[in-house]
Amino acid sequence: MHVKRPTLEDVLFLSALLLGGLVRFAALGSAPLDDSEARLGLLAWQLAQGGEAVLPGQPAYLLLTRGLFELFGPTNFLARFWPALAGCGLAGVAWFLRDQLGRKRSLLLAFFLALDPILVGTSRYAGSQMLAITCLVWMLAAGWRGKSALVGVFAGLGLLCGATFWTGIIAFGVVLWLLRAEIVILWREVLNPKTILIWGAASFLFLGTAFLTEPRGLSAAASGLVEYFRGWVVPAGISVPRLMGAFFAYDLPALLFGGIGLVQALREGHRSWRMMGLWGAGLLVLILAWPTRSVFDVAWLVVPLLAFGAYALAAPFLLEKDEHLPALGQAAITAGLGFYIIYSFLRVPLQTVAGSPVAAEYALRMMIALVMIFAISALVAWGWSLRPVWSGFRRAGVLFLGILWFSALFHVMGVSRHPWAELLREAPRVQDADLVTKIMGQIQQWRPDPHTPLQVAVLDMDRPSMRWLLRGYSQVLFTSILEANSHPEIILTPADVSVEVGSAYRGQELTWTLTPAWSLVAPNEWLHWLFFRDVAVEGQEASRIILWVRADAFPGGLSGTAPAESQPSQGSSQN
Amino acid sequence: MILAFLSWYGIFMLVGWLGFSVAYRFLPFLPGRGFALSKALGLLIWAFGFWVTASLHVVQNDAGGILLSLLALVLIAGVSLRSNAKELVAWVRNHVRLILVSEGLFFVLFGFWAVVRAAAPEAVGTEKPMELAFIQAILRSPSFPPHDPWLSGYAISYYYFGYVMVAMLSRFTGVAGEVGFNLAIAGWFGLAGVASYGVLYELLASGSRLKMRKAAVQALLAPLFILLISNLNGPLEVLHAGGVLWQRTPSGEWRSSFWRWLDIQELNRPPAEPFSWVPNRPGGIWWWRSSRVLTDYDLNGAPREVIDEFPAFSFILGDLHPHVLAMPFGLLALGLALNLYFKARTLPYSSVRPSFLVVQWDFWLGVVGLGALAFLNTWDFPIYVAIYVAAWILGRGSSMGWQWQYVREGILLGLLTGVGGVLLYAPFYTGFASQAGGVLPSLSFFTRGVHFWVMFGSLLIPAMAWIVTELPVERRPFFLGRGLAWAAVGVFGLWLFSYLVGIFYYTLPGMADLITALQGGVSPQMALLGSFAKRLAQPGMWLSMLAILTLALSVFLALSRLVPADEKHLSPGLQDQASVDADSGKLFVLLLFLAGVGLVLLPEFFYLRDQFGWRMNTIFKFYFQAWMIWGIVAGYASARLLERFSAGISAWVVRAGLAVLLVMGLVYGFFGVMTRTQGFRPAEWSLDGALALRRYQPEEYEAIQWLKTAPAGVVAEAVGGSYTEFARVATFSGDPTVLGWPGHESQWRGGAREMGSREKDIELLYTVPDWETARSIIVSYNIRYIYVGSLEWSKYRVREEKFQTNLRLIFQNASVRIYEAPASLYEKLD
Repeated sequence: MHVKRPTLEDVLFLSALLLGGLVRFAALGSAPLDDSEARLGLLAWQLAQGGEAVLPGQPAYLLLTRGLFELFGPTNFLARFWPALAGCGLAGVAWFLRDQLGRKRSLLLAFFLALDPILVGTSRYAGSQMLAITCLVWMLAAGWRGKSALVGVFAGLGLLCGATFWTGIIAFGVVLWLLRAEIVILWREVLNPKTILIWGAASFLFLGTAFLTEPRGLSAAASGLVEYFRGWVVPAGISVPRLMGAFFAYDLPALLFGGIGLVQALREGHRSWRMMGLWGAGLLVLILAWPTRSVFDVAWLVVPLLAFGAYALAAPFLLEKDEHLPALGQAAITAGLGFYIIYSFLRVPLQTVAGSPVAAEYALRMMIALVMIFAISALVAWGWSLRPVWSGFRRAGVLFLGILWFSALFHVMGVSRHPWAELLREAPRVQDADLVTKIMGQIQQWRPDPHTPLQVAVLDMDRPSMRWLLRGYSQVLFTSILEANSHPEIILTPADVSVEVGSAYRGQELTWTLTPAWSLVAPNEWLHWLFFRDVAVEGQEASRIILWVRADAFPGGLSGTAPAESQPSQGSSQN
Repeated sequence: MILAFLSWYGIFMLVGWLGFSVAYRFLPFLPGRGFALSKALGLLIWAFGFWVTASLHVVQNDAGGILLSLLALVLIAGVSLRSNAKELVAWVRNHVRLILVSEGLFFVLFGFWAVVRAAAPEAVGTEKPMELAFIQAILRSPSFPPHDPWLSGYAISYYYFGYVMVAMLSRFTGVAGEVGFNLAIAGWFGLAGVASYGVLYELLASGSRLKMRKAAVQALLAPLFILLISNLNGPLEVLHAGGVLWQRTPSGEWRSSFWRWLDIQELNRPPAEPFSWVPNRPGGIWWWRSSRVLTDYDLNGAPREVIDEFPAFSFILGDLHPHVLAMPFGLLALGLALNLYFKARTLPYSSVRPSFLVVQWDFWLGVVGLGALAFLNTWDFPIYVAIYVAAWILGRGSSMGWQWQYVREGILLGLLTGVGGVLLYAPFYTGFASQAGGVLPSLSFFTRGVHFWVMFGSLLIPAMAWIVTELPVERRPFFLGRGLAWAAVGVFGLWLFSYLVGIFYYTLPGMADLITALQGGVSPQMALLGSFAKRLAQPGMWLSMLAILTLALSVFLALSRLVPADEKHLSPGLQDQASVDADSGKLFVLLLFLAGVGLVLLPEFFYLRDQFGWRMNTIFKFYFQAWMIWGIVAGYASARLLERFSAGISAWVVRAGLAVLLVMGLVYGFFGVMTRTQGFRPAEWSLDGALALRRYQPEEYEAIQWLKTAPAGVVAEAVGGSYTEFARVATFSGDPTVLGWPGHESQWRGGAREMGSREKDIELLYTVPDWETARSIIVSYNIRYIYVGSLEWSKYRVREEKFQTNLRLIFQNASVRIYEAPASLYEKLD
């Protein structure tokens, strides 16, 4: 039997997929779920336990995650599993469309989709956003290839992904309407509407009800549409500057190269690329106009931009047959001096006042470097021509943007020094959750009887992230007031609320959430943030908690129950 | 306000056209294809789909579930249209006049009544708090069955389908429940108007295209008679207020033998001075009396209140009670019965098997439509099923000649429809407890003839005039004799039967005591003889019934071929039969008229036993349906009279007579609306049912609005009597309270067992100083919020310090504090 040997192309596609998987799944469960993620995680867990929860408009994510929780239990990793997998699946679209896109473009697109920071960040966040994007893109890809059944399946699944799916599908609907004369022909020649409808209905019905085990999933899917329309009337989203800021911060290369590719593609007049461009424009308008936009909506814009970026970079404009060496040299020098300029700028202390001697010194250094770039460029132009100069600039630009891109990728994976300082977040990052778990675990072990459940009371802090963190403990009480005769071993309270727990308890202050106060970040701090995710203390918003442990829970502590005079009393808010 | 109105109007239009796709396919025997009934039909299918799937936990009680049900309606409409689309488009082109008139009618009625409600939007007084409480509770409940807002821990035990529709529309359009309340009153005014128009159109339009064009305008008589015209107490109010027939005695008192003889409460006392032609009543609302024309007396002369509402009153009052909510759907049921009647006339088979009935899609439409009536207003269900069955029997008999086979078919159809209706609405029945407790004979309670004519005169006069003109030409004495015989059997038969039942009940110890008490404590012999003598002394009602039935039955018998042909004469009613064939709606109209007579006659001799013990509710429910049905008949009769007498002196007589009647009937509506809306000069235009709360108790309003945003939970608030401010927190927020209006709960559940000691426990909760006692009450009723406002302070001696010490204060303003019971009260760490 003849076994087809894998080609270099196959290996590269596989590499892209593996890399995409690596950046998505690596340390996926290490970061605790924030409030937004935990809300969904808790719902899925409640469903897995057979409870009756009111399903919001994201049944696909909830029911799929429910399945994992039923099999393996509720973990941070599994809560983010499906978005991560969907992100990997998105990279597979490039392979699926390799004949339509062309070899180079499809390969480039595969790597772009696999490693794009915004897409990776969205994939690593529990929720339906990535699922919605993947379903729609696969639906469009299947349509491009004339696979009617697949179109139906992904359409059905996409309808289960909530309000976010409607952004993409409505934008595409506008495209179809604008190009309706051409589309009708395509529709009749390539696709079978009946097949699409049947497969779509079947996937909507069976997947939406988790194979008929949760029929309410269908009405939850309809709630997604209602939420989308309600989002137009009840503004509750992030601001446009924040959204575009995230876009520029994480994906400037996609923006630049995507723009170049868009212009090229429109000039060359291919219908499919024209549709993609219109779709991207429609997405931009819808996302900017929709008041309930999420920061992850920017991921919609990335997909067509990456496709155009692949279009641009696949063209041979970077690869020049002559004057290669001077171009390389120009690139190296420009890159080197450019990095020096940036390095100098970054070394300016944050509190430096403009016009001071320190500022003048750094400015001078940067100026000299800039002059050197121009001087060398002039020399190269004089010695050869302007072409290697431009080529050098472009290559340096690509290098610089590439480093920026990979830097953003590194940060968005949450493995950097300040993972809390990301723009690409819905809710403040939970910080010391692992510390809380560790302390509680130790207390559990040190007790005289480590097998009995640990008693935990949480006062005035009923947050999804806290509930998620404590999901494994059977004796947890979320309350606003503790009864006078109640002495749990652990009490968690907000640090800004005065609570009298008595001398029988020892407390430790921890940081629960930490997030930059974006409005307080000064303009000169943005570059620091861009490279190091460094935000001055003044620009941070933190919520702190105190973990109280009953003294007798410590080894060598008081034995028996707490003394009568040191009983925990009700919490009283200072508000 | 305008946006809310437009959104509701848009939804009504959408479901109307979707409903028409279904009606067009499944009501093919109606000349108008049920176009004007399609709003009610579309809304019914949508609401049924949503309610049944939510009750089975297939969808959630949220906007997504409602949208999914709407998409299901779209699917049903699409499937219905599958092979009819072009035909429907052609039909629309040919019926533009019908479409424009009915859509215009709906818009005008909906819009006008929205303006009326905007001038008097408050959901306070009479039953409005109950209705609003149901709507808010349905909106607040995460699943079905919705929780009872006035008895925490229990589901609603009432026919709440209408409130599901209102809540559904409110949620879908994003308006608050208290706004939806008023939009629903206006919307239902429009729905009832256009549905009544639809029924009359279908009756008038059978035949030629010219008839259809004329019917499109003539059918406007139906909403006029049903919705706008009142009973004759309206003009009586004007005369009374004007001092007509009042004479001052030498001692200075005002006396009137007429008004004393008429004996309508309040009108039997002198009017307020100075006299005026504008009705008024110091210390009361003058327009209320028109719904209380009748008064029953026991044998000791003690009066018993009887409710004789009619639609104009109900809408002026502004209650969204089940009998109002059911109106469009009762009229839809008439439309379904009419379609069945026409269909039955076309069947060529001598007998029809059950399997034939069950496989027809319009049968299932009938099951959904009729079954819904039990869930909307339970009393309507048997009435309209009976009409439905009678329509079948009549249709079969009038075309094929009379056979007992048709009665068997009709009974089978009725059984299948009834059983099907119960099965489809089974989730309702599982939680429903009726207060009805059997049937009692009405010995001393009967309607005076004059009151009957005051009540129904405005409908009966045109109806009877038309019936008289339809008396058979051939063999008139024969049919009149037969009519009289059947009428006598009906009237006297019921009379005798009621006495026999009374005698039987007197032999049963428990029942004997009950009837004795209801009859004023007199002995059984006295009750039987006395009531007989009383009826003989006041023969107005039974004589009227006899006369009306005689005339109606004689026409009916002549036209329906129920009387077999006599070989010595020409086939009876050949000329009449020709007229029936030319106007196939005529027999159905007669059937409706007779059904109305039945609804009025039956309570003269029997009534349903309930908590009140006399025939108040029976008269209320039956007379209201009689009004609806006779309103259609009056509209039809007026149209036919105007057609028949279209030239000469008789035309002027008929037109003048109708004009006078209409003016008399419209007087009440005019003055009633002007009084309710303060001459359309309210202090504030608003559709907010909580306006009064917002203006006069802003702190309470603020507290309740805050509570609506908090997580749902049981609220403790002061307990008080019905038709008061008590239970206001649950009413406006939708959160369940421990106990709302005890009287109503007792009625709904047939007793006080479920209420237990709640009223006392709530008092204890507020007044006891000891925290442990309060704590145990909080835990036993699963109370989450404790509301301390002005009503609590005025009703109880509130010991608030225990709440302050042990609970968390979560809301506070100048006069309200709300405490939250922490989870630690309910959950314990072992």
